[in-house]
Amino acid sequence: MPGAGTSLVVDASHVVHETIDGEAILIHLGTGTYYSLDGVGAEVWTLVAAGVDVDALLSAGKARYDGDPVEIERGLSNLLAELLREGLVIEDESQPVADSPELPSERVPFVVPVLHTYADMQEFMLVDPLREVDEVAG
Amino acid sequence: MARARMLVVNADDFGLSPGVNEGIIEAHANGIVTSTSLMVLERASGDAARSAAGHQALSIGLHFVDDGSADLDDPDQAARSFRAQLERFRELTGRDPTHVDSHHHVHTWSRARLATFSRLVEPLGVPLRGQGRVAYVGAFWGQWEPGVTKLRHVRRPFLLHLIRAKVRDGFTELGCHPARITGDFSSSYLDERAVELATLTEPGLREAVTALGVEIVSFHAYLAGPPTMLL
Repeated sequence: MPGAGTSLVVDASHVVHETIDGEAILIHLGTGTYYSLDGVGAEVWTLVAAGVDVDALLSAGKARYDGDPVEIERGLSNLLAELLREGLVIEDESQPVADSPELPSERVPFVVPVLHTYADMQEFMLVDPLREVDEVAG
Repeated sequence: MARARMLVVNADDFGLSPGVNEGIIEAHANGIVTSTSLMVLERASGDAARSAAGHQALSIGLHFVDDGSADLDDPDQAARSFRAQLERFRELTGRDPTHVDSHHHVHTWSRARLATFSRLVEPLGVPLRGQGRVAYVGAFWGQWEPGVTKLRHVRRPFLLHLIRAKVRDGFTELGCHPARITGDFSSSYLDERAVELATLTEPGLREAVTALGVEIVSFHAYLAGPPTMLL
């Protein structure tokens, strides 16, 4: 888990990311794996991508979300740890702390963020057996 | 000097139904689809082959299907099944496939299977999906999570992001599944196919891809030789 006072930065040499319609979509170019973050996770990602340090990020999260502060901190810290494990971000203590985070001021319920993954050859797990198609189609 | 970035946009499931066939041909004639993979055992396989005959620029590969008649982990059984479908492909199209892949990527489910299929495809001299000769991008797909549809994954902004991020020097294949929804088949991946078709035929999309420095080609270009060298 990233420590207090630590800055996390996107591993720009391996990761490209884009937020589309509120979903942060990350691609690790080394592994080819895709990652998706919605809701709380997408908001956290905007802070990470902006270079916000961990302390400021956790504070911003507690100000933004309604819920048990301990649960919020655990949920956000777990997500940051997962981003680190997946090689999407790296710790960089030399990074200056960025400007104040800019999450919306309106408070919303906290939902534990989930980092979804997808691989190029994963499609086979999702589609229908052909025989079902045949039965319906006659 | 840099190698060109070549993108093959390949539609899977050709032959699955008349609506799928119609959508794929439309995505080719009016969009950026340059290639398709034919299922030779399905009820609309003949219709697919006939409809493709008027589109010579469309490269056509074999979309191998595990029909349950063979244990694909047994190399001999896999070979019999593959050769039967290859022969059927030749009967339907009058030629060899320009590439080989499989429904649900079954040929890649283990390293041993991939090795078996690599040996089977090698004499054809064409690329096999997952073998590495042509990179494969499969994220233009509306259900990254089973049963959870995110149409933004099959719309233009993400498609362009995907191409920008993933298409590198040499040949890359982008998989897609466009279809016309004509009521002739059912699938848990149905409406997404129509959105894929709409995206792939959007006006200006080809120009937008070209502006990324990517050339849209078919597997015919791969078989013709190495990518053009750019100064």
